[in-house]
Amino acid sequence: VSLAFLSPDPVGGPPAAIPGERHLSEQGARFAVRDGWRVPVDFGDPEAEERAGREGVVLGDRSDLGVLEVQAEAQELAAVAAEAGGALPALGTAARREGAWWCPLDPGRLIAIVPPAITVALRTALEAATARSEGLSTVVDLTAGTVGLAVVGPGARELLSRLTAIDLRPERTPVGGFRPGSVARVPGMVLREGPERYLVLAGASHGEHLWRAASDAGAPLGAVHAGALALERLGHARA
Amino acid sequence: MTAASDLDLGAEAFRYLDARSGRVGGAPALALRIGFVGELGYEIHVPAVHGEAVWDALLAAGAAHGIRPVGLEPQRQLRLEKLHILVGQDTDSESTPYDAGLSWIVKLDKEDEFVGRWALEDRAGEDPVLRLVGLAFENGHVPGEGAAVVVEGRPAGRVTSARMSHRLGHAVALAWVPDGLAADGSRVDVRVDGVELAATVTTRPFYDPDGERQRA
Repeated sequence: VSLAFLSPDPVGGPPAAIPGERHLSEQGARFAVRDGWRVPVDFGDPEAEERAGREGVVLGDRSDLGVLEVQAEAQELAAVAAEAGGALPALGTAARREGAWWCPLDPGRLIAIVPPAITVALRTALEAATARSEGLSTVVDLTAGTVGLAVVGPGARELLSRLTAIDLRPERTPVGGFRPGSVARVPGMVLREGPERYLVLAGASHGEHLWRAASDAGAPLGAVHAGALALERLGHARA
Repeated sequence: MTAASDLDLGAEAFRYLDARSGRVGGAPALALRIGFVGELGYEIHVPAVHGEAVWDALLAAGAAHGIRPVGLEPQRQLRLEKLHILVGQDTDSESTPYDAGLSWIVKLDKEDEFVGRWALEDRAGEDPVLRLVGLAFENGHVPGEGAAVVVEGRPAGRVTSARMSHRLGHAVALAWVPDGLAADGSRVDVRVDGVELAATVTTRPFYDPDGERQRA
């Protein structure tokens, strides 16, 4: 008996459902299974979605991203991360290593945000690293407990300013900035992945709420929903 | 469960209070054989992303047996018939396993350290002032949760949970009563809407008191 059951099974299990599936279906999403996840691939016109991401702002689901939480004694956390190919940057920032974002939450805890195709490999590496550490250290797979929402485009920060009080001005949150805080009045985290690209994470049980709140916030800005096809063309890697 | 999982569900292979890892509805799962409602049953934990698929698989597998979804309210009624407590509702920060009738769960002879050992050792020899017991009402009334247990006209305890038991035909409750009244067959009064109603104390479950059904 272990906590291994917490990890979605991308190979042998039934397709994993994203938390906002109901809302996105209402918005016209066309779903397909990728890497074991049933994801919205487009909303009828991937070219238009891509264009909106370059000229306006789009909302896309990234709940398929792996989210791995590592806890260790403060003096050991950096070594555990490094042994698994990661890093431990300063609080408030995130570091990108081999496709994964490494985001410290406090001196003894970080999360790694991982493309779905390499989640299992990184989880295995982290489990090996924590097993070798001398103090008490753990890895817990939070993937199934997290909703991921990408906000992309020139209007991304403006949309988020209507959704959260977290200070996302460039001088406070540069690219690579990582800000835990309240988003749409639920506990969340905001990662600035690029100049016009943000990733919002929150608890999966708030997924439908977060999607509806983000859609409402984006409506006056002309925000549209974007599927996986458009997100990939806008630079969201799956592997 | 046999049709929907790859677990060995034999009575010896998967006993009451055991935990097993396996697959249910194709998803990775942790299955716990527990019986909060007092029947043979399993609590199944799967990643949330597989939840609907597993739910559908279980309903399909159970169709031939007349399976149907139930809400929380039946669970609340059934667990009261078993005198299974809800921590936080039937207990509070002053409660201990000793006065809640859970002394059997405390293993002070355990070699390993555990959270709460000091507090449990400190309270182990004390005589509780109140004890958590079951109450049966035979007058058709269901007391409100929080209703006062009254002794000689003065509040002396409280009801923490109460429901009408459709199986037993009368209301059942959990309540904190003075230690001297915490014995099978004792009579106490509970104040309901200004009227004092008689209730009978029980320290054993109303339903399947020896737990034969959940251990089947």
